[in-house]
Amino acid sequence: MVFFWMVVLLLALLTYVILDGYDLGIGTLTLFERDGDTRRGMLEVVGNVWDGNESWLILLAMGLWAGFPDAYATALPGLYLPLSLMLFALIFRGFSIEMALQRPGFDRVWGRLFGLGSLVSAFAQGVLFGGLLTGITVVNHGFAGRPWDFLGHGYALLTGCATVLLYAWAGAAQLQAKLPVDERRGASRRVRLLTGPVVLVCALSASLLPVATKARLRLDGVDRWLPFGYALLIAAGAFYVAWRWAGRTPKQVSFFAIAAAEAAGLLALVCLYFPQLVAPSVTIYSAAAGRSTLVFLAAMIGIIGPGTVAYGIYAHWVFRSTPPALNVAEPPPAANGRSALSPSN
Amino acid sequence: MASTSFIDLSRFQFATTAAFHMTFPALSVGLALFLVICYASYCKTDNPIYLQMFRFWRNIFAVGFALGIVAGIVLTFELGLNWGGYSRAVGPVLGPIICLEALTAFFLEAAFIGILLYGEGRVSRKVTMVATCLVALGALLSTAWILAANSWMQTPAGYKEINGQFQPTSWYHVIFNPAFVWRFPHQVLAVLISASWFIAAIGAYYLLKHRAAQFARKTMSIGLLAASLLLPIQLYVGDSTASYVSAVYQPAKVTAAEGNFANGNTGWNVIVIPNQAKQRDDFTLSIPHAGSVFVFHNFSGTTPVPGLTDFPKALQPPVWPTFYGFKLMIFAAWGMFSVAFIGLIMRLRRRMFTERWFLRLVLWTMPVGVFATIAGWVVSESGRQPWLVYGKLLVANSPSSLSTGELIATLVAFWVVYLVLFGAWVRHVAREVRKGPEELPPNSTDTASAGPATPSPARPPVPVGTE
Ligand code: HDD
Ligand code: HEM
Ligand code: HEM
Repeated sequence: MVFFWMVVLLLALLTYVILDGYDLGIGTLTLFERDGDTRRGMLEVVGNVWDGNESWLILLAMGLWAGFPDAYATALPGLYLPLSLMLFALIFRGFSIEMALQRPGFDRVWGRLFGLGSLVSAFAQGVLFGGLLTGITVVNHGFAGRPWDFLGHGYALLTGCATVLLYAWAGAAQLQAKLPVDERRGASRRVRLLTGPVVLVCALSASLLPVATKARLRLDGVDRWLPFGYALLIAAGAFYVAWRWAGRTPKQVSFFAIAAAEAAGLLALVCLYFPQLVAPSVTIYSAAAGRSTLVFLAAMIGIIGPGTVAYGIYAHWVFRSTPPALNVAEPPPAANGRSALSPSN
Repeated sequence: MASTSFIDLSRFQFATTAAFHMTFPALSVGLALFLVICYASYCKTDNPIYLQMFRFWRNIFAVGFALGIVAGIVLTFELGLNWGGYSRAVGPVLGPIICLEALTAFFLEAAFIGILLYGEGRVSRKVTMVATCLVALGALLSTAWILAANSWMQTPAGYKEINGQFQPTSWYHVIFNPAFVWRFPHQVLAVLISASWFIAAIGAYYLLKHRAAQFARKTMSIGLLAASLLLPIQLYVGDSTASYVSAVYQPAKVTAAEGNFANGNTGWNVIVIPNQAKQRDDFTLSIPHAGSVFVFHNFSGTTPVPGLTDFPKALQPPVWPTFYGFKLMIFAAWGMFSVAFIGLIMRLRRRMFTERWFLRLVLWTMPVGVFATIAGWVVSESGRQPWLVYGKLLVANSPSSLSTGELIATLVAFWVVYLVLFGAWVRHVAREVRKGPEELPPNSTDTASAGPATPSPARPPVPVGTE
């Protein structure tokens, strides 16, 4: 049960990183896009999905709370500052995108705030992930470190930058699949351009991890080093595919390759850390809630989860391309004499 | 152990961020249902006025909903950030409930809100209708789960304590705990009333300005009608909440809400100046015998209302917020009830849409429902003090060990951010209202014709790609 719930949470984390990763990335990229129409298009790509993507963050947090209360009660206070920063950035971001979309064209104030909020959220998430990787001091079921411990002598800043780049990369790959053709080229160029820096910071963070962390990293036993090795291979392959397919059809390949790289990275970390959850002292076994809670959670996920995933996919499918497909039922929400009715794709 | 002032700061932070969050669901749950009504009427009658209403309220709904979401995310994290001891203790019980909320409600709302807001032109009417219904359903489910969680903290049931943690033994009893059964309907009615009043007030505004007359009449009628149907039920449900839940399980809460320290007062206090340190009221203004009638339904008015001195001083809830929160809620309830009643009479005499004083009254009381809702939460939360889980876990044993600096920094930041966003939201609503509903197409009710169609101000065309 404990192991099962850990896997569920890892999947939630992965889904969150893949999904909200790309929309935070697109947000960040709006800051670097000069063309107003393209920026507007980028906002619309995010507008339909950000709420659903962020729901994975809530599921992740609440799943952690329910399944591993001790981890929730120690990791959050330990990461107080970066988490708060993330929350503030997410607040601005969620509000400003709706405001921006309510106004015609590209709204400077709200559009910029949206971009900035996305950038800061991504950075804060990287920082807090770094803080978690380097370890949190826990005494007697409570956080017992100091407020700035999460920095880990600067290691967290590195993971912060890595996350910003990784998300932006995923965002560009997603844009390449979703923007209208004439605006796609810039996105493809960015996918290619960002590959190098992403590989670089990821490799750097990985190789500094053993020095920076208080956790006990282990690769003994075939059940650790074998999947670890595969994960590294998959990641390397995925990096290559993402780069190679930038600007080619099918246009979704880069994005899926990046998702695979993220999955592989997570798998590699699990091999190193298992069973530590809030390293070094809180493990999935010491933090787990009682059996009755875990069984209930598993049953609920089993019953409700498939439906949730199904309509989540449907919601993405409806907005699979910008601009709108052929309108049959309503007066078009927008018409300036230009045809808003022509189907795309 | 954390100091009292540290805990008070943490409480203040939670209370204000929660109240901020509450403001938006208080409107969006009702607005979501209102959108369902508008769109269903449109599908049924093809009358473009309903589409006009749908689009207008959708633009107001969108931004408030977004604020509700991000402010809600803050709350879930705060439980762990600021209340580590609490989250360790109650995680096994409350965690799954909020997980279920995320699974059943948040994902549902999130998946279909995109279609509701931006789907027009991509999906058929039927899909828009279904999406609108599902968003409203999600909002109601979310209310149910959060009330289950909060009610469990008020009347914990179905658990055993192991190692300083609450471990559930019966999920049925955890979810359908005694308080939930009354507080859930009370909360649903509260948010519906809040939204109806808001809607009616906007209708009144257009009537006062002589704009969009047809739209305004329909809007105001639906709003006031809903309020006048729901308020009497709410008076009953609220009274039952007090007598079945609070009086039985949390007698100290009722006592604080009535504002008596000493025993023996049969009156109903309208104003008190409580002095908790000296355990007495420095001033009371009360209606003789009415307390006995209201609290015990004793119409001879002779049963005295109990006083707080029955409880040890350390276990008394603070009287100031509990008492005045309660009074505000009650006065708001009776106030809205009276206005709605007057409206009903005038409606029957066909004068409601023209009496300017009445329209002004409705307009100026626009936020009363929301105030009542927040006041209600102040009653239930501060009346629960000093317990976090009633009778089981003290607030004093629950905070995380943070530095005061961290706490103050985030508190100040929350206030600044929330004030700015609240201001921006109010401006947005005011702008949308001043701009008014989009013009109806001059010709017909035939909205399916392509024609020079209704331009929606919110969604200008996206440059079209050609492939
Ligand atoms: C009356 C009902 C009600 C009450 C008492 C609360 N909420 Fe709420 N909440 C909603 C009704 C709601 C909603 C109407 O369903 C929202 C508003 C926007 C939305 O998406 O759902 C929402 C959103 C919302 C979200 C974001 C969901 C998303 O991303 O879609 C979270 C995490 C919470 N809430 C959590 C809380 C917590 C921790 C509360 C207690 C302090 C709380 N809510 C009180
Ligand atoms: C005369 C009518 C009313 C009475 C007697 C009444 C009574 C109560 C009581 C006793 C509580 C505390 C419940 C507890 O914590 O155990 C409460 C809470 C609350 N009330 Fe009312 N109420 C009335 C009308 C209203 C109205 C009109 C609204 C809003 C429009 C409202 C909104 C709330 C809310 C939001 C809460 C907090 C949530 C909860 O505890 O369920 N109430 N009410
Ligand atoms: C939107 C609904 C809510 C509002 C407006 C609200 C309001 C408040 C208020 C006014 C306080 C401060 C009480 C005082 O210090 O006198 C408080 C405290 C608190 N509430 Fe709520 N509350 C809400 C729902 C909830 C829910 C659903 C939970 C948990 C799942 C919760 C958990 C807490 C905690 C942990 C505290 C801090 C400790 C305490 O003072 O009790 N609240 N809330």
